[in-house]
Amino acid sequence: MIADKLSLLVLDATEVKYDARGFHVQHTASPNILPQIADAFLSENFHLEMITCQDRRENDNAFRLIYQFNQYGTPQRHVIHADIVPDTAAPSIATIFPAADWYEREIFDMYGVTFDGHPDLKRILMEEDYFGHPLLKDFVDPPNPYRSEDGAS
Amino acid sequence: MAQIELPLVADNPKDIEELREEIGPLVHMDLLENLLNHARSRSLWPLTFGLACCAIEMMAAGAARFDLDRIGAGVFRPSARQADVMILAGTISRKMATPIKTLWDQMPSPKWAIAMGGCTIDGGPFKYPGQYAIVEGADKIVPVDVYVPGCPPRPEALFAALFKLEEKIRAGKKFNK
Repeated sequence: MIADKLSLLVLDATEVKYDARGFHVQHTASPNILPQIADAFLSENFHLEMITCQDRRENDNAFRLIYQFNQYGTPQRHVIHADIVPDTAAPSIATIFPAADWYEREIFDMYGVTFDGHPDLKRILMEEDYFGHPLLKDFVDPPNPYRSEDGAS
Repeated sequence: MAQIELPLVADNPKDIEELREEIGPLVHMDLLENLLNHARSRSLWPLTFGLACCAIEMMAAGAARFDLDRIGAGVFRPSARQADVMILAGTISRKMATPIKTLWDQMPSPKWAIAMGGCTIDGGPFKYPGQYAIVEGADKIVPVDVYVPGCPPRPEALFAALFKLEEKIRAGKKFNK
């Protein structure tokens, strides 16, 4: 059972109301054991639904990585929260779930979070010579030739 | 046509240039140019590429119900080297700006650009304070000849734009040299 395997790995697991939140179980984990967690989900025939990130540097001095796993058959959506300290790398799970490859590239592109062990960590949405990470809270896009000068943006 | 006395100017090449300006071109190409412009306007060959949802309307314009072939503009070329017209159909993301510029440079002159839809006019619904993802108007990267408003424009609007472009070409204006 996935619950037994996860209970050894995660710090905290809470069952939540699916109707209100859209998922069944919420876990908090240390980022170091993300590959073990991914292995556990893979062995139970779960698939990766998405990875995203939150910029919580202002309050918690952390980037929160959010992983969602689900399975066919009985719906059972698990959400993993893993906080990492800014300027440290998170372990990549792209070798376990190939679907994670582009998600991790997107998080690198938008937030600047790097992933150890990723096969090809480069920008995915912005052009390759772009200078910043647009979804950071303190991001400001400097004037550039692609923007209008009429003050509307 | 004026007679040029060559010994008078042979020593100084600058005088030849001045003389040429005075007497105008030795051979007038107007008739040929008109004929060529007429031919060009009746066989606009667009480049095959769509950027976003406007491309669906562009495809509809090319398909049987509307049929761009009726006005000779249905020969979508897969290579920029063979295309006359670039129909910018859809939102231009910033990552796409460089490939579009490359394609435009690969197209042989004379060439024209049609900006189709609100996004290519000024960024459309994606233009807001702090946006980082799109190019706010096709005219930021290529010289645009005709703008087509709409979100997306109906195929009839694209036809109207092509008719306008034909008028412009037949009028013999010099552009994109």
